[in-house]
Amino acid sequence: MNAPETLVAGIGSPLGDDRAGWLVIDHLADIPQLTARLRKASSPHQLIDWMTDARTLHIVDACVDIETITRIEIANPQSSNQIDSSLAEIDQLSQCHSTHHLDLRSVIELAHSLGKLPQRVVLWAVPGLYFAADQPLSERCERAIGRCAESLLEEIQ
Amino acid sequence: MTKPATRRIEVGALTRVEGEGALHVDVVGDRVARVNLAIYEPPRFFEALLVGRPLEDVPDVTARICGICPVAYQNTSIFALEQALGIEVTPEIRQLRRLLYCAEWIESHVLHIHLLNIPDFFDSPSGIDLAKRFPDEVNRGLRLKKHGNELLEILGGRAVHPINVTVGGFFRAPSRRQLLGLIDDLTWGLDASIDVARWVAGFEFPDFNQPYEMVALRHPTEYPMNHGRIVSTAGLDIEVQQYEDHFEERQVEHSTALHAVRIPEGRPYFVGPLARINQNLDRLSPTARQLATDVGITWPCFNPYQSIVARAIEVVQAYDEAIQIIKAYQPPEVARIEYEPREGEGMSATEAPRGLIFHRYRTDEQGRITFAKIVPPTSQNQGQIEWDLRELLPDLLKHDDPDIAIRCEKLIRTYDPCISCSTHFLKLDLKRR
Repeated sequence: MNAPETLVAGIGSPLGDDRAGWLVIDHLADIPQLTARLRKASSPHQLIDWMTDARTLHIVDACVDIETITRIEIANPQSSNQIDSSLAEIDQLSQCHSTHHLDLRSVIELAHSLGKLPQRVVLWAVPGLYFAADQPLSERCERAIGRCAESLLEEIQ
Repeated sequence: MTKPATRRIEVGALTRVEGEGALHVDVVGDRVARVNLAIYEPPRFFEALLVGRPLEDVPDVTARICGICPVAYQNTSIFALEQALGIEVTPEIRQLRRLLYCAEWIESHVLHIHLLNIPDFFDSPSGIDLAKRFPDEVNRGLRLKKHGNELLEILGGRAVHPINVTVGGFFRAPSRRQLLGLIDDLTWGLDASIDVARWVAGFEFPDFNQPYEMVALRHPTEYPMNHGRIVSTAGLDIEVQQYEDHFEERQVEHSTALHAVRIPEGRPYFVGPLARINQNLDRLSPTARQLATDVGITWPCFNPYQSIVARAIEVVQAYDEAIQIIKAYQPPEVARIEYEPREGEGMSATEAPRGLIFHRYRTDEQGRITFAKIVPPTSQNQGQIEWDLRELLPDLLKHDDPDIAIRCEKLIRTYDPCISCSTHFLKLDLKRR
């Protein structure tokens, strides 16, 4: 069986708006006859194992300090210049680097170093406000999740 | 009279370690006046958090101490509480727990070897840079790490912070089919891990042998993971119950983590893979023992830079043992031993990937925690790391400050410190006067 051309991976956790990545996947899972493969990740490093099977990878993750959905496309990941400018864009989105696991930027950089990045990678950053245990989804995030799922669907169908 | 020149070297934030820390060094003339490994992560007060909670909460809370080695924290607390409650688990449950430790050793050791430590031997600034130079080796490492995570998922319910383990055993025992499904991968992993050990053993190691007292568990028949007596290369041989008669945690002004020392002398000591192999070479599996002989290291080994080889041999040990356990596995009839809460006290020491870990708890008649003490491996190694740096630094002073900082960080990383665990990254601040 051929590997699906498109993989959509939502990164998240049960904490407040951090579940945005998973909820976008839930929206897409309800679409009949969707050919894209859908995965939920709790940590970015899981993407390394999944991305080798895809030609296009969409990554959805919640992000603080942004007002609207931000889309970053790495159109030609084999090019060093392209990857550098894309990583710089990701850096602008988040300065949060973990020491206990590989953050999303490091995972993309590592996958690039290993020649594992799909031909096209698109990062969808969904604006989030609350990321603590027991916090509900913020209204802004909830609206953005629906819009992100719609925009993604337009791209992958 | 001319005042000696002052030099201060600072590593503001240590890199490629788990957690956040800094290094401050003061040099007066050619004398190293001060070496402080400053852990500035805020204290996390896990012990205080546990007091007053039902004992059933403890494994879930202690697992949160570390995202890399939750199994060791979780299980050490479970073993201590089982002692307090007088619970004896079945041999089948015990084997499953050992398998859980194998899984954690594989994922933790492989991560440290490939992404944190090997870059030092190639003057590579990061694991990502190393991946450009050695893609096949890094890919192999990632595949090995994945095996550890998969095994953890099957046994613990998820790869990080397992939820399937509890006081008395497991909420649900895995099926034989689930575990046998990993055998092909684990068999590949055993061969691959032997190749990793041979590769790292061929690196060039700085000559830095020191008169360490190395402390580890030793079991009558097993390679030490979750049980044993506490032994040292200085002749210590005690029951776990005597731990606090020989070791003490002390507060130091420059760090939010406690420093554990040997008492009464107050001297530092060394825990971790090198300490384990040095005292348990005869407990390694035949494959791992043969490898330890073949790699050309004379055991016992007192060069911390060669910890990477010990770590790699332990990965082989973990694969070898995991395969044996899985092949013989039959799901236990009872996955969890029932118990009644009672007033009691229990303690346990096990071997986390980074070294010996000690827990002690007291419970009341309702099964609530009235006292908790947790001594992580990194708080035991911190004093030894500072002592090492004081030994290393005089030979480094001819170098410029950034170069000294890099060399200090390399030595610190050999310990695979987990700073977040011990508070409960490095910044070098070197002052030359």
